[in-house]
Amino acid sequence: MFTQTPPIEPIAPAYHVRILTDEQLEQFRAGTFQLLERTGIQCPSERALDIYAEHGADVDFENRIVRLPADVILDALAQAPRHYTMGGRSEAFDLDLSKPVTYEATDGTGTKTIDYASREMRASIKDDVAKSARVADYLSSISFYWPMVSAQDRPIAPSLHELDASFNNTLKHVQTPTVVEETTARYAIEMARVVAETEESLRSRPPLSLLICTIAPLAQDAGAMEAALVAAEAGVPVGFMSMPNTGSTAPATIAGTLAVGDAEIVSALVLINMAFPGAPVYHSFMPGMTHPRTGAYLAHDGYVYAIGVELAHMWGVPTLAGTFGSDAHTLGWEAGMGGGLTSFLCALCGAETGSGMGLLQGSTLLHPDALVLDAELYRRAQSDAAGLDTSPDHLALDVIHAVGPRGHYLRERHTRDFLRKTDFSDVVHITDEKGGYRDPFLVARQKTDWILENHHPEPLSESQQAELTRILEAAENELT
Amino acid sequence: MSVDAIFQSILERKRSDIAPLVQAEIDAGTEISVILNDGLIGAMDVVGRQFGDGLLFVPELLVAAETMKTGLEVLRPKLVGSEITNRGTVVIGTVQGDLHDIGKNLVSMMVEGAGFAVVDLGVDVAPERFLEAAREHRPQVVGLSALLTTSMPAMRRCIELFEDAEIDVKIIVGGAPVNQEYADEIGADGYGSDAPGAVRLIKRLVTET
Ligand code: B1M
Repeated sequence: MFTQTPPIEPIAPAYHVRILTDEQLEQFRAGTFQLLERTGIQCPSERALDIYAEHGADVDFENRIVRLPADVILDALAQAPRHYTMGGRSEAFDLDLSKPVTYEATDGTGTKTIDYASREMRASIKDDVAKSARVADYLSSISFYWPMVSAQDRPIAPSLHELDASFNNTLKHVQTPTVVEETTARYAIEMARVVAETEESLRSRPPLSLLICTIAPLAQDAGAMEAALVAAEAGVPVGFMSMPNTGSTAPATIAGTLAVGDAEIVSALVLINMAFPGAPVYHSFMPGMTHPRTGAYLAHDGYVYAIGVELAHMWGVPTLAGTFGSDAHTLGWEAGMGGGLTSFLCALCGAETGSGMGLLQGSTLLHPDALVLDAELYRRAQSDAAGLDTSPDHLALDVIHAVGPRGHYLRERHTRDFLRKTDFSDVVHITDEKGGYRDPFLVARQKTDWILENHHPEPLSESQQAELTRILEAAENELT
Repeated sequence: MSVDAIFQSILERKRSDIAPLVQAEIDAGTEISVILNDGLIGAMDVVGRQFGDGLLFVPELLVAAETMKTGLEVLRPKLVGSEITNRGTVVIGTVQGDLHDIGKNLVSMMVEGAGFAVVDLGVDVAPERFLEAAREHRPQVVGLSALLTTSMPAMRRCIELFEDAEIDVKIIVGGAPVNQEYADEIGADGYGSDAPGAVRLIKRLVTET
């Protein structure tokens, strides 16, 4: 017996903001042109170097430096689709990037888990991916799923085991940040083909997308770029995330950090659309900040990620924004600091997608209850962005007239109707028997436990499950 | 007197001042060990303490370490063949398959700042390359950094290779997903949770050898 997966509820902003002026955007565009033409990008992949060279880039094969004139960049990017669909297992869970909404995902891929039952910290395992996928499947705030932690109990092809646990436990689109070599990418695409069922559907509503990091400053990883090319060839969306670290792998200014990161991302987007014109790609700017006294990796303030959204749109591609993600070591005030606000800002800037819900300690620690708590912050962002309904029913002038001065609204039918329609949280403001409120952390824990006990998403068909297992075995044999 | 000036130039991070100061002191006949210990290493001990106390920012520490290194380069010809050495040599790198180097660079910089010669092999370093470097530079300590759970096995391979080659060197490991338990499991000689911890560990291991 399975349970229904509740529908996804993306953030649908009713109003928008712009952070950069047109002149500032132009500065960044010119900056990227200048960096890619003058400084160039280091690309250690032979295959990628050949593609760049065949399409008009100036390639220094000896030093593996690629320089890209502006017209070459623009020609390639002109091929990249502005919108496309990232598929769920069924159409109800498709992410249509042309809609004016922001779809959000979990964070990934951490390395430690606070065990769902014992609450002890330990190295993450495949079952954690399965469990967190089920929790994410239940939560409407989560529109797509990143394998949240590493399947460390599967030392051969862990990234494919992460996909296996994901596809088997959620109907939502899966985006992987750990498939970063050509061979695993081929197997990952095979797995996606099984979930999509047909080649046509793999291309029109791919159930998988890849996330590949560039290496700040101004470099790419050979294996990862080759994995990206495999995905693009199959029509599977691939995004490039730059994580320049302000003060260490990027200048100690936000504008300088943006300049480095944008140039890296653009260099990779260009490659993919040179090789496979029209391939679905996305731009993702997720910088960090160097802790000045320890060098540790810290998150930036929200507007920095929101500017990343504006840069993506300037280049005519969708974005994956860094909307959540916390440095906090444990659940609490600090863990709640950034998420909701950043999510809100990115949505107002028109982000198509964002990720980062549910991990602590700089995206390395899975806390069982963090997803449910982040979903609360998301709810707030969603409601703050939703604008206001001022239809006559909502403006309620007749009811106000009927109640008149000094009356009250409790016995009005209008009140009963609308209070019922109001979306109250099931985590905060939950009353206890003493008339106070229950501790939201305890409520979140109970909710997580309830989901794990009661929510069992529709499984893949037996033949699909068997096929995934066969692919995993083949991959393990090849990679052993 | 100008050993003091050498000391000060490190505290004030005057990279371009230090070489002539060290040279002048050598020319004046000051003992090499005094220039090294009271000037260069002494100053870096203070810098290390200031950093530990939160007074210095990371890039300031880096430039102080580079200032010291510039001074050391001037002194190096005098050290060759003498009894006086720096604190020891450390070969360090990020293991095969892994390109993360922010943490490894910090460790490198702080170890160097503490008076060790550091041979930094960079990222994606194969076990054979670590071995080759150990044979070439004869370090007291080899430091392996990994940030990916998928690259951690390369640490084990490296340690096995060193065991097979019977190279007498201490191997230490670090990086966000690594912990003491894993270090013990793969037979590493130590685990550093952060850069200052790595420095303390290396100092201890070098004293033990
Ligand atoms: C020898 O003795 C010692 C002793 C102590 C030692 C030591 C050695 N080495 C370190 N220490 C210790 O001292 C240092 C100072 O205190 C400390 O070093 P740390 O390195 O821990 O700390 C640094 C000062 C700051 N920390 C960091 O710099 C790492 C931060 C995070 C966010 C991170 C970054 C920045 C990056 N990444 Co990467 N990245 C993540 C990291 C998540 C995290 N929060 O840790 C992690 C490690 N990455 C991950 C992933 C998946 C990836 N990354 C990748 C790429 C990158 C960037 C290039 C974008 C960038 C690295 C830039 C660079 N030049 O290093 C890819 C892999 C590339 C490759 N082949 O290596 C890619 C695969 C992503 C992709 N799809 O392409 C995850 C690993 C998951 C796993 N299963 O292990 C990850 C946990 C993030 C996540 N949640 O997904 C201590 O650990």
